[in-house]
Amino acid sequence: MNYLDAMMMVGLDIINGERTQSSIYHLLKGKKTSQTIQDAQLFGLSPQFQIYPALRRKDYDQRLSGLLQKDFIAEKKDGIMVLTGSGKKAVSDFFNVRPVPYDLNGWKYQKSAPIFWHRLTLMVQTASNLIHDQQRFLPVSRDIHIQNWVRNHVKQSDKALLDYTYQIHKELTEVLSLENFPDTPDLVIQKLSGFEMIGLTNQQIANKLNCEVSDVYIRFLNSLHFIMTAVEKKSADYPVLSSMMMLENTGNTLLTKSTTETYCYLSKQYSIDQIAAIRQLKKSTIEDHVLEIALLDPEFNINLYVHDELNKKIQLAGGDSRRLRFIKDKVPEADYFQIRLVLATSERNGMAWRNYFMKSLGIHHSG
Amino acid sequence: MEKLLYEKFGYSSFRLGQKEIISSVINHQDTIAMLPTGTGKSLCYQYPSYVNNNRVLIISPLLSLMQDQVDQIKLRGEKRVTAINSFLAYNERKQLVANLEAYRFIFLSPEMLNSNEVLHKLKEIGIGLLVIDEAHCISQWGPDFRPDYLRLGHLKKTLGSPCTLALTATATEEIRKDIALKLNLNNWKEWVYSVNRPNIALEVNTFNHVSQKEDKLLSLIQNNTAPGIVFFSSRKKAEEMQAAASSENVRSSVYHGGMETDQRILIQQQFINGQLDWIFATNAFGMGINKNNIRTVIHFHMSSSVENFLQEIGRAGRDLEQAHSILLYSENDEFIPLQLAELEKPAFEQIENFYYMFRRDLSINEIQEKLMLSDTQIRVLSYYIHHEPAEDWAERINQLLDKRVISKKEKVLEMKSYIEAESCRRAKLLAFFEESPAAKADHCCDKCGLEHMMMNREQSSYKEVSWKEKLDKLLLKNE
Repeated sequence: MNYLDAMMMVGLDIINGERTQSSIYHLLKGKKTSQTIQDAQLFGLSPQFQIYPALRRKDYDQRLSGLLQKDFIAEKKDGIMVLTGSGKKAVSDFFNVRPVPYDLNGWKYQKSAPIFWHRLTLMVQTASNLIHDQQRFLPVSRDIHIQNWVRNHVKQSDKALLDYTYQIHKELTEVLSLENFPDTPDLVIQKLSGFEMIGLTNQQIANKLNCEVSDVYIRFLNSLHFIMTAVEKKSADYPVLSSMMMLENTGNTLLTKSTTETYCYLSKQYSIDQIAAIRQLKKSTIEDHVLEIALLDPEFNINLYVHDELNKKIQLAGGDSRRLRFIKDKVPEADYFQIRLVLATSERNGMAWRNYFMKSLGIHHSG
Repeated sequence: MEKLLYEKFGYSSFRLGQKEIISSVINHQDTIAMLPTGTGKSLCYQYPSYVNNNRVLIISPLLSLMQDQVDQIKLRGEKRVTAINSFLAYNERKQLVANLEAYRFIFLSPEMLNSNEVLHKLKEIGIGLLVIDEAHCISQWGPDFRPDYLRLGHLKKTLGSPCTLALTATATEEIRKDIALKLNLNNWKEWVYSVNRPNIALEVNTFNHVSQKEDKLLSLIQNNTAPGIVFFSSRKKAEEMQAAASSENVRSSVYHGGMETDQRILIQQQFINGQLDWIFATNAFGMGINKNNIRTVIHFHMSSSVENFLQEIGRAGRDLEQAHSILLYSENDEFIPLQLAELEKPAFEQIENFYYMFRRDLSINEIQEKLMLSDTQIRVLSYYIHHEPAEDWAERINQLLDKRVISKKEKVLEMKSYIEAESCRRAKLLAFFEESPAAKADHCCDKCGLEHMMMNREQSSYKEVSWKEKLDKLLLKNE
């Protein structure tokens, strides 16, 4: 068993037979369909969104049959799979001796994490070469946008360059030394390249840490998301790292084109029905857009669609359960859109994910 | 001439052939140049651009090689270089094409010749020198024939017939004639240099069984001089053998087309930087990497032609110091490349169905999926459907492709005859190019005797360190 297996099992356990096993594949892979996006919201699985884009269906299916063989999961009916008692124990045992990926936030960082990481690696490589008087080197990133960003931000004068480089060093050391840093900093630092030193590949790090490549991938992502969260929380302490996280086009670059258009109308105070009429789309489509926005934009206020009192009622009724019908039975005056909206906003802080590890698996954060 | 060479490129003298080729290009003469792999072909088109102050368009068939070449030119300080290929997203390409006049060196992959937008822009901004890299791909008689290359004659005309330089490492006289014909060259000059690389010693070891070959490989990489490359024809075998080498503490890594680009870049750079001694690769590796001190090239599987073999061993010894090629052959190794040659040809039914589907206006992608054609197969068929008359199309194309299978198989058997050579291997190799060795190499081949061959081993002192030390080393300047 490895991290990818564990992630699959956690996913299956959280959806608890209410979706087919395929939905976990799409989630890990990060397929951008409203079905996948809503699953992520409803079940609190958005931290797992797109944490393994390189996953192939064949590999996923093989892992599933492996887990079936070990009786860690059972097939209830066609495509519906649930964790067994021994499966639950296996996941729990697995994470008792390994870093728990509490800090994953796949949905939130899907776009910014790769940009942040590529800027950081290329900037470290550039600064490292420049302070060692090496003007010519082969960049580890060929992406022209990343290269331009680094070109525009690297300091020209010797003094400023040294200060800037020192600051990167200081910020990285600080964030990696935080008491609750989830894993070994080797995962991050050994990947970096610079003057007369080329970073290690995932495979090489796996050999070093004596684990599988897929483990390195997930553990690295967890560490990276931890760093991003820490930097966001105290951006004044990390001026350089936070500048690397800033996306050029402010606003919701994560939203799909169609959703962005809906967002425009919403901000001009159009109602959902009006937008559906203007755009000649189904009302449910516009509602999906609103859900997407609610999940992504922490500033987005859902008061307009669910008043505070109803919101509280839905949250109370839900408790730990994220089953729509269960909540609907308890709060009949709410419609499904309102319930989903409340669940989506409560998901913005990823609480369901952390709760799962603490309550369901009895694992407590050791860091 | 040498002054500019030093200022722009940092070299103090030209290498064999460069000066002659450059002079003929500077004088606007169409030129065919055959220079052995690893002897600095790219200088032949970069240098003239600074003398005549004009723009250069380079057609290059291998995407990974193209990226390496762009990187190399940037590395020497020339930023006005770019590549248009299928790696680019639609928007990136559009943006790039709109600003194309900003570039001095433009690399283009042949499939981009289908884009009228690109052609139009190239014509508008003007091309002073047209370079065809790997020009032997234009010949139907060569093993690497690329139908897209047949459009190049038309391209030359579209661009107003600029001076043209056809570069190749390996082309027989027949193929060179074909190149001139297909490119509509006028009054061209030919500069042909020996394919011989005298500083590379040639050796072949044969075995009855694969397991013996594997044992031999492991002992070779522990006793032979690094840095080195081991070539495989299968990714799986490369991975398997690297794992075995790794457990013997050989600093090595695999490299193949199935890896993600960023990981591949890291491996290349680790190798250049001396962090790795051995690369276990498919032939995707190292066409364009600038590493002069590769000492040993081992073939775990035979190449599919003598031409490819020369290209692959040509990555060794670019510093002109002693280097070593070792080919490991176990019985029936030729079956794989022979079979591949056959599998690459679409079946007659596929060709026929392609024809009918195309006539029924199915998209190329649809056809490819329905008929399960490989990328190469669909590329070849799409070319012929546009460029060959409809009459008896399927039959004629089938015959033509059958002929190509036969010529590919002949190439494999040529390679086999190198392995079976009973006297000097160098003489055997050169004979394929109607050449004979000019002078006896110091260390020629196992048939002539390879005793007392000494190679300089460069000891690398690279050590792995903890994350804190690494961060300090990277970002703190110790005075």
